[in-house]
Amino acid sequence: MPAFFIALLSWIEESALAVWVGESTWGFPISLVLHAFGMGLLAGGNLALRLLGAAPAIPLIGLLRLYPVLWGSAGLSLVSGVMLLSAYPAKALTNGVFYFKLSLIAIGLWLLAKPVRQLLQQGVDTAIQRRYGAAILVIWLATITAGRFLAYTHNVMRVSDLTGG
Amino acid sequence: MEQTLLAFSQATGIYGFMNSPWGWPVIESLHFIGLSLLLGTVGLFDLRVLGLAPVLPLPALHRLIPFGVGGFVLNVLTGIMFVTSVPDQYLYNPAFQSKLLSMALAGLNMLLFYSSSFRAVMQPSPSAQALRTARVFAAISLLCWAGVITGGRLITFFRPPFYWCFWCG
Repeated sequence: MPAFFIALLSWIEESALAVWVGESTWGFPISLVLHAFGMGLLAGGNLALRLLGAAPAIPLIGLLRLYPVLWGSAGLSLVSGVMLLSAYPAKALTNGVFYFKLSLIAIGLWLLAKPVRQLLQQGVDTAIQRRYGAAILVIWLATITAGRFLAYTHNVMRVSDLTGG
Repeated sequence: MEQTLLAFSQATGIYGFMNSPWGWPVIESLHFIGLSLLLGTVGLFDLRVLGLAPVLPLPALHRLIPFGVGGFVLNVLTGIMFVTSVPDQYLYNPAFQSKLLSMALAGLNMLLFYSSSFRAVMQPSPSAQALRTARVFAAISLLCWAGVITGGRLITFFRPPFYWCFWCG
């Protein structure tokens, strides 16, 4: 493990945020609860299900009005995610599943920001709608699963587990 | 009670599966997917009733509710798998008890909504009175489901024997 990486992990683990999240009574539980709300509202499937053909009476262009909720949920997930990460940086950042999850989130957010938004604005044939609906559904299902597996696939908890200190 | 639940889990093979290497995380993942479906459909409907995105017609949005019900059923089934596999971690856990209470209130609120203002608010242009009533139901629904999620997420912090309940001293 490179020295600068260990130094980075130590710096995160000793930061004021990390100490508050990790050692206060409510820091960690609150972060977990907020992360669950962000997850449910961002990955709740409404957009994907509509694109896949459910509830066809929902006007596609009207779904653009959900974007503030989607971005707000993404922001909430990001903030609470940083809080959770800060408490146990070594646990997540030494686990490949964490990087897999981040990659999925990047793809999911890009899909929402670019092609799906365009599709809602312009309306395209249902075959293309279904393709994007399936794509975001699969991405969010995999993200949720990867997130849950983070609790079971880590090799270390604290930086001291890496340094043997 | 504990023994009955545990015996059920063992007799059905749930216990063995949940104690296999990936049993617990796989079922947890499904539980979180169910949660998301519920919040993304029922929660969205509630937010719409409360004034979000009025361009989305309520009857159209209501077509997504069956998926939320599906998510709820998935969570009842996966939830039974958790609880029956380690009943003592749940039965005496104040977070789990609060979660069940919130769920019961959400169910009662739903019954009252469907038997009172549902029809009126699903009309093309519902009356102000119908909307006002529906908003109260929607707000209570959101609060109850938020309580269910919060209680569920906090279960791990109130495991017996360390915390049997708030009021046990």
